[in-house]
Amino acid sequence: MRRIGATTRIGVAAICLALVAAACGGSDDEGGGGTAQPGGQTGGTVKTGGVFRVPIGEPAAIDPYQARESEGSNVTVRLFTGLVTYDGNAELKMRPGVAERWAPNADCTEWTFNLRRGSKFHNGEEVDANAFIRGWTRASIGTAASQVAYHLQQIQGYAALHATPPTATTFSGVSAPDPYTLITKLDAGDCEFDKQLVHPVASPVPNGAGAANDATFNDAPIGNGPFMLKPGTKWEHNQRISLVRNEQYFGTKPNLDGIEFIIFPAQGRLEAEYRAFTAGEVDFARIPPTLNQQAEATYKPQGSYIKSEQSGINYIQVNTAKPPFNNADARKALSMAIDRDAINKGVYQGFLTPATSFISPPFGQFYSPGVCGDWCKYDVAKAKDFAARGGLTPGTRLKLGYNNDGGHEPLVQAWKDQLERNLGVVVELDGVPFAEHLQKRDRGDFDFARAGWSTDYPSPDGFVTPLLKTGSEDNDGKYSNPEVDALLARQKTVRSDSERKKVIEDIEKIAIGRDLALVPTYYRTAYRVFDSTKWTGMGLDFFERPTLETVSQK
Amino acid sequence: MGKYVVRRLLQMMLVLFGATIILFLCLFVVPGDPITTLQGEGRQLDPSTRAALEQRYDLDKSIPQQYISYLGRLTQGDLGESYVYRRSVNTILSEKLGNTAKLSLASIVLMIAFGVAAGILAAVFRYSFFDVLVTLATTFAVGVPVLIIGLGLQNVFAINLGWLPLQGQSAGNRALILPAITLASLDTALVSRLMRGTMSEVMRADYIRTAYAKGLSKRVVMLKHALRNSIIPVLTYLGIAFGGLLGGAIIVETVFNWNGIGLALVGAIQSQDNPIVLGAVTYGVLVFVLVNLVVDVAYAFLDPRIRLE
Repeated sequence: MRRIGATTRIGVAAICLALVAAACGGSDDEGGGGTAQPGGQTGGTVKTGGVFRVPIGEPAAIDPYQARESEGSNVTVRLFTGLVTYDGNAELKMRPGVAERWAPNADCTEWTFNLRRGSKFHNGEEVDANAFIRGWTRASIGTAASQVAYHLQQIQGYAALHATPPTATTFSGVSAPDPYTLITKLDAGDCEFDKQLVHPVASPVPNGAGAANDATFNDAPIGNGPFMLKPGTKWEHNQRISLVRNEQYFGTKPNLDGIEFIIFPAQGRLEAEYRAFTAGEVDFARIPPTLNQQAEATYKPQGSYIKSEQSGINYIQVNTAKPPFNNADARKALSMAIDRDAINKGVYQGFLTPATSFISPPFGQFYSPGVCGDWCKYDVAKAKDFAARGGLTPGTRLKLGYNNDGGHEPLVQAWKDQLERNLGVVVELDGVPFAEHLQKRDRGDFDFARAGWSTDYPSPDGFVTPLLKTGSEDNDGKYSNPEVDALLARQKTVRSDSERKKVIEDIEKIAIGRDLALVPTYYRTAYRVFDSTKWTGMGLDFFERPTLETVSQK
Repeated sequence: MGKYVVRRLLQMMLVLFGATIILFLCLFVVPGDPITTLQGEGRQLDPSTRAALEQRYDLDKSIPQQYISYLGRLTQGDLGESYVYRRSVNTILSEKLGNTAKLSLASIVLMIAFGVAAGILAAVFRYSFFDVLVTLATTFAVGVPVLIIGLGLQNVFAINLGWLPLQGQSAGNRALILPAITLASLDTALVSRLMRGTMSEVMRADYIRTAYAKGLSKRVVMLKHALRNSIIPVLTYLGIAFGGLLGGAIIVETVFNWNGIGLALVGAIQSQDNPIVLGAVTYGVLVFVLVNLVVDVAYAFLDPRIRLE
């Protein structure tokens, strides 16, 4: 789970050094999830072959122990396949990976994974239960200082292993009674633990991987995934990473002969990769927001333009711990006084989708459109009415927090104008850099704030628990409702997705439909271009990564 | 001469020492700690991982202590480990050094070949059509931002004509052409202006008239007498320019995705990756001082009146 803010930062250091950064501008990479669009593979035989060129930024790591950002994960998930994978369709179902079958015990505190026999690492070594224990231990041990190991924190023994300095060297909650059975004990029951294992940090590693800071393995990881590093090559830093198809792969083999990840500098990367696409030097690119309309006009008719709904959401965090927004009617007034459509057109060129729920469309069966009801519709008269009832009287001073390093000024200015015009309140803009903004939100030093959220695993739990549970560290609005807390606890112990769907629906009905604990504003949408004259079967998955396993030559 | 060089090298140590102190202070008064910045938009870091990272990078120590251990490592040639990439800064910078050197050399060759030559010709044939042409071209090169020149060249030669690669270094020396031209454009213009100016002045000097009176050919007068006496300011400028180029060229590296020192520096500043910032700047200072030393030594060879003491 992660908060979404800004990535651009030029601090005092820049001034100290009297440097002038390139005028190309940084990219505000607002990561998130996405829906799979399994592209147009309509019958006929699929051609194999070809090397697909993908622009990425220099990853922090491609070794699974530290695959912490979209760049690195984009490579790691091609090199490694974990116990389970997921299906990005409307059901958002789990699918077998190295584990053929898996099941929790009655209270979901112990999970047993039955591994397939004969699946191999790229070096020919067999992938057995020990390979997973090795990988998880290597990533979780305190000395690794992994920033993504927390995905395994529910497992017994994590705390001792992850301590600095570590008080254990083995993972006490993980065991392998035989090479093809992996048993995982959790500190508390979680019937969705398997979904967390989709993260690359839960990958297996072979015998020779060494400790986490093994420079050789970091630069040339030996995995078990559908692609492997081109033999004889390793990560050429700031240049490229070349992968080829893994002919020994146990699952569906990719159609591509290989992938060439071409590394672009972070500065002005969006513009650079789009230009490289127009010059035919890459087969796929993101689109700078300012060029989106132009890109749509040029590439949509050719079928080269991808529009993909993302799982991330933009919302207004309202401070429910103090007046005036401790009153639900005041929150509803705020929400109804904002014209989402006008802002979408005026600020975002119509490239976002106004939200009518908290859980976004890519969550498939868990998505309840319209649960926000009238509260998410622009209605000045009703807003005024609710403002009067909720004590949001004209002249009330409201502090609007936002991070000023992410290009959000047009948005907050529009909110300010609309609220001041429609409700007669006085909005005070409080823009600070992202890290400071988060601290202010933590301290409750705001009345309402711009916020964004996305999740690292394909479950609505990644949205509801961190943001709605009483006392959760990311619940900056300090929303607290025992009824919702009870449902959240129940949600963890529900065993089937159909039951879970009902609980999630109930949570949303109360927390959003009735309490409006936070104010949904926009669903995110990702836009990409790819070379449709050469390729077919292209889309973005739940995590906004290109579906390189299904792409094929035309 | 030998003494002079030794003294200059010792001075260089002092400069480096001062530069690292200033830099260190700059970096560590920046608001927000590097670990929080490192975590970025992700969830808050758990205390154990934070402690592990702080220990690993000495961030749990006071700033003077950090500086002392930094200096200790520096004397052994160790620039530390990057916070973001967890790789040795020496390795990261050495990967980029070759690229920066290649681009700088290509540019300086262009500056000398075109800047000096155009300046000489413009001075010799003053107010000719060629002179006017050089004036116009240099005004253009000085007036148009490097960014625009780079993007323009990309549009014409990479996107429209498709003759040269747009970006990156995979195409070998062909990939060097556009970035080198872009990088050299401004300095070539300035060098040619400077050359024309000093050369014009020298050509009015008495000894040039004397040389003509001795019956020397125009070529000999120009190359042997006029050029030698007018090249010193140009050489000084080239030295400064080369030193600057070797420190990295941020805009050109960005536009052409050229994996050099400049890009490393900007990226590191944005992510508060202090070991890379310190390493890259220390390296930049070192190169600058060394190149200027070479230039100063070169003066003595060009002008016997200058003594190095």
